[in-house]
Amino acid sequence: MIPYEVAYTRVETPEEAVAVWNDAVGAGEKPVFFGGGTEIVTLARENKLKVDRVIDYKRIPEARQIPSGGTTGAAGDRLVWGSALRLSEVTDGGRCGLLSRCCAGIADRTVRNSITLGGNICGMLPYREAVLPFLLLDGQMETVGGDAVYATVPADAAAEAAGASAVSEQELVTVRFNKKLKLRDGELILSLSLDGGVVSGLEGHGMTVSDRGWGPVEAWASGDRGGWYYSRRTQDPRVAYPLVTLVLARLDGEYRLALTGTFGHPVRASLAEAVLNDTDASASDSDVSGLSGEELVRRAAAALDAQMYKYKDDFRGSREYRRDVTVQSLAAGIERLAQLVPAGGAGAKKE
Amino acid sequence: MKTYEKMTELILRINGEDRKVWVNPADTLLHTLRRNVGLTGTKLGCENGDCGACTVQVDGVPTKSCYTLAVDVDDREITTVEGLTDSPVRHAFAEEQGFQCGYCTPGFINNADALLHRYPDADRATTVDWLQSNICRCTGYESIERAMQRAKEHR
Repeated sequence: MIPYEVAYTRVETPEEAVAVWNDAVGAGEKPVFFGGGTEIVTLARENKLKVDRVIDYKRIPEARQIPSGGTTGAAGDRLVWGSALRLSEVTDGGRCGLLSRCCAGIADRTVRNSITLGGNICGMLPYREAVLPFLLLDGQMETVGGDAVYATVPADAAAEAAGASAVSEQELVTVRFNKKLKLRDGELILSLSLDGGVVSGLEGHGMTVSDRGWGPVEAWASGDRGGWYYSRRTQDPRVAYPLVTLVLARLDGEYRLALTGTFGHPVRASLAEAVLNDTDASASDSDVSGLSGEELVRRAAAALDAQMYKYKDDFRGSREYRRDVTVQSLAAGIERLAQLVPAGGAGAKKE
Repeated sequence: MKTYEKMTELILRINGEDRKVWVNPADTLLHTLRRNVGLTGTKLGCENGDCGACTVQVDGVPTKSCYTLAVDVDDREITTVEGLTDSPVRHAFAEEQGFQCGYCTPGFINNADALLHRYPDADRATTVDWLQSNICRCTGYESIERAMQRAKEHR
């Protein structure tokens, strides 16, 4: 149990959540938004977290949205996941195989019955694997509180009519994410979303999961616009923090890469993407460039080294080991996508 | 909107019965069940969400009660091992001796019971995925696997 006094408030609307937060702060309290409790309760029990009030937002309908229907989303449609969904609900929902895989690797099944999507992404543990698809596929988020209210969809009609981008940059997860989601004090994520057309374009032909019981858990999928590859490596047991969880997509011929564990926190590896997408040296013996696959991986690995982050170094894996398994995963991903998305075929780069 | 500030009288629905309890908002479901309700079948293990000894069902979903606040489930149906008297899983664990010291057994039984309600013909991969949420420190996993097989046959 939590070894000190704490108040509990259950809110049912975004407005209530913001009002309770503001009232609590005004009263000199330290509030925290409360989802599954897996992190807040366990840290508070050890006196590593001091809060005066937990604000339980799990009954807010907007935070409980889940995409329904079939397995693919139409172009232009948003697939919206409420931030208070349990990870097991996201996994079982099945509307985005990549998100399902990323969530399925987190903790164990029973814990996933409690951890929420927002909790994993905004929690204190650094890995935040659930954010990877939103980083990779330019996901959006809807938040309330923290001095401003943002809305994702519907887009601003005037801006749309003027041909401007329907989405303000502030709403893109990639823009607000640097090691962790940069939320203002009192800001609550209500939901996260992906473009349904992108999701179906990457996995509309189906998904394969491979777990041999040792080595990485892998998955891959393909669709009309390309495909994706997922790999999660742990020290040994399946229920463990990742040495590396890597997601590599090839969408309309362009590689996209996001990973976590390697540096501790999630990263959209833009430098490595630039190397993978460099077609200056185009020739016939490689799927994207004139470089051999081995050389391409070597250069992409060098680009990872050039990211401004340090490789994580702990008892689960040394710096060098994490780098090596990351490079192995990247090589496996490039090889798999070369099979799934052959040059000139579906998802090939449009000239 | 509902707020609990201090020690509060609460009605919890446990094993099909309404139980009146006094809880502090900081109290976990685990402590409430054991100390306030006297249902000591739910075990205190790591208190960190790792071992699964404290697993109960909340609306039929396996949940680790060590990090679940009691006030958070005041509108839910809670099932502990004491409420699973007729579960084929419980009988199968006894028949196959799916335990050694028995400390982890209530957590395993709750998890397995929920699993077989949801997936009566759960394959091995699904069973492993669910039950690796629980740790048997005596390492009696083979007999637990046999018990799961028998429980599926009982259903």
